[in-house]
Parts: sequence; C-alpha cells; structure tokens
Amino acid sequence: MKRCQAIQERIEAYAAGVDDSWAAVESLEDRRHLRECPQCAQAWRQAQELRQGLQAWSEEAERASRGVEDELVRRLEGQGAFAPAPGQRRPWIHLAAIAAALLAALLLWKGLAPGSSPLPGSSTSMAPQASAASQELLRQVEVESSREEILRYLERSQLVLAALMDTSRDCNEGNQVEIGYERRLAESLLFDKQLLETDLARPGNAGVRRLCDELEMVLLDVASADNCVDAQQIERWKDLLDSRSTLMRLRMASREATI
Amino acid sequence: MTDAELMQALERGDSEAMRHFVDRFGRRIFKYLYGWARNREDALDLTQEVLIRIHQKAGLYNERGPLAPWVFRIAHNIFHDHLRKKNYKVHSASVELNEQWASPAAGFRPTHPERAARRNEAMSKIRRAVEQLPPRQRQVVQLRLLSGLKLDEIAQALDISLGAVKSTLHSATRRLRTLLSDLEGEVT
Repeated sequence: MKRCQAIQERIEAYAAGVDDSWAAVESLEDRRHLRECPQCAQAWRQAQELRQGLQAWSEEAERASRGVEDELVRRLEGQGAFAPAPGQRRPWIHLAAIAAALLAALLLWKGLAPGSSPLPGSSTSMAPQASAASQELLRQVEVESSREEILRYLERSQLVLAALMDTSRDCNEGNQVEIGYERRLAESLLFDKQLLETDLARPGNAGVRRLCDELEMVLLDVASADNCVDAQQIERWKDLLDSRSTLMRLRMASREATI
Repeated sequence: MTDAELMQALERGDSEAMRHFVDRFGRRIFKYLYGWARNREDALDLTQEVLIRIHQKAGLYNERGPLAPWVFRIAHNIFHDHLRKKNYKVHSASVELNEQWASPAAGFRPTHPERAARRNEAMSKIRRAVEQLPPRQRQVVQLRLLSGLKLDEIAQALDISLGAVKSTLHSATRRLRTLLSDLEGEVT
C-alpha cells in the first residue's frame, strides 16, 4: 500500500506537469509494480491520457502562432515605433504568398477529395439504394483508409526515431542532448496511436499491432523524458531499438503496407 | 545579449533589440493570450499591446530578477485590463479545428472524415475542460503548457510561492479529470 501511495503521488505530479520526467515510474521495481497493480496501472494510464490530451491542446496554440513574429514586427514597424534596419526587412510578403498558394492547393484538394460536397448543380436524386455492391465498396474504402492511416503512423514513427537517434543538439549542460522537439512528436504519436486502436484491431493486423505496441513503450519513454537527456540515454534507446530490430521491422512493415 | 542588455537596448528604442525581443518572447506571449481569447486576431492585438507596454516600461525592469516572469506579469495585467474595459469574450472558441489537426512536423493529416471528426471531438472536450477551470488554475496551466514557463518563473510572475504553483497544478489536474469525465458522460 505504501508503494502504491508513493507511486501514485509521483504519477499525479507527472500528470499535473509538476514533474516532467519519467521519474513517475522510474525504477524497474516501479514498472513491475505497474504490471501487477491494476489501480496504479489505471492511474498511470489516466495520467498518460491527460498529458497527451493537454499536449494536443497546446499544439493547437502552436499552430495558431505560426508566423506571429513577422506579423508583430510588421505591426510595430507600421506604427513607426521601430524603423526597420536597412536590408533586414522580414520576408513576410514571400511567406504570405506561399501561405496563399498552400491555401489554394488545400481548397482544390478538398474540392476533389472523395466525400466532399457535390458540385453545384450535380444531381443527388440519382443515388440508388445502398446495394450490396456499394456496401462492399464502402468497406473497401474504409479498409484502404485504415491502411493509409497505419502506414502514415509507421512512417512518422520512423522519422521521429531516426531524428532522435541522429540528434546532436547540445543542451549546454555537460554531456546532455536536447530532444524537446522529438519528445513533443513522440507525445503526438502516442495520442495518434489511441486513435488507431480500431484500425489495428482489424483482422490481419496482429503483426503490425505488436510492432505498434512495442513502439508505444519506447515513445512513452521518450515522451516522458526531460527536454535535455544524457547522451547515454539516447544510446540506451538505440540499443533497445537495435535489440528488437524495431527500425528494420518498421521499414519492412511500411513497405508491405505500401505494396 | 543578456536580459539586462536587451532591456537597456529596448529602452533606447533600438529596433534590432525589439526584433530580438519579439523572436524570444513574441510567440510565447501570443500563445498565452490565445489560450484566453481563442481567437488569433484578438491574441495578436493583445500581444502587440503587451510589446508596446514592455517597450515603454523597459526602464523599470529590475535586472536582478529573471525577465520571463516580468514579461508575463505585464501580459496578464494587460489581458485583465481588457477584460475589465471591454467585456472581453474569454470563451469564444472561433477556431475551426477540422483542418487544423495536422501535426506540425510530418504533415500528418487524418484522411478519413470520421477519423478527423473523432480527433476534433477529443480535442474539443479537452479545450472545453480547460476553459471551465477556475481562472487561477487556467492561468497556471496556460503559463506552464502554452508559454513553457518553469514552475519558479510562474511563481514569480504571479507573486505566489512555488508550493502554491504546484498545488494549483495538482488541483487543476484533478478538476480536469472530473470535467473530462463529465463531458464523456454528456456524449454517451
């Protein structure tokens, strides 16, 4: 009971953002305890869900904040309070042009995508009763969409793990490496994994599901780490991935899903 | 450039210093204010006002203390001024999430409408839960998660103890769990 209380206090601190590190369940004994104690396992699962949800929430603000620096400088310069230094004007006009082109491409893509609204003037009364054939078609579309989602998840996981293994950003704190970017991506992947559960439960996906579950454990470790970690920690993750040939299996699974 | 050097340059009206300041704090201030306003344009207006106020008050910065808490105290005061004067809409959720769920780095986009809807629903619940937190709890959560302040920086910005910051975060977490569970109940 004492161990439960101690662990749950640390899990609570982790969920609250008071403790960002893996310290919530640091030792092997703690992890073993989590496997054996349903209450603590439940508390850990809930803490993870909350952290991932809040991470997703903060990403929304991150997306809204894209380009604000340039816009703020432009506004301040427009007020005449801060004259731009010669040759240092921000390339916001170019960025705006790129953003407009991207928006146009997005609108075009939406217009052409399956499931988008019919074009004005197109008839909807011709739609026949859902026949067995159309049901089968719908099922195929769903399976195809599901396969694509899994494929994207695997590809993103590959990118994140590869970036993590190659990262060399110095933290200016002894032999530490900065992994804040990769850590946030790992949190995002953990959230995505929850949304893939239905897809992974489909018949024929047992192998890829096992791979995703293994990946989840590593991602959990990364997501729960500090933004600065020892270089040895990166080596430990590398060893773990090597010992299970995870990256190779990821590549194989991606290739199989693509064929 | 140290915090003190930056603020001295700002006080002199050095435009390069302001650009440097915007690069360092602009986005963090914006995200904090966006957390309250949930509207990009409003958050930009407020951030602009915060930057002008900081420029005006640069001479008052006490170089013995860290800069971030001082900046965010000003940001929050300005937001409160607006709340009082303009009956500001704190909860206006005007951002459409349907096309915004892409993760920033890898260009991930849920291709299936149902999947996008599920993500939006989960996201919407979290947002609603955060918006229902008591103001102080929401303030601390936003300073921590949106602006990335350290716990001691939050304590200094709000002029409370480190223990109070921790206990507020714990209370916010418990409250969020309850709120999310209630919202789950509404759906099922």
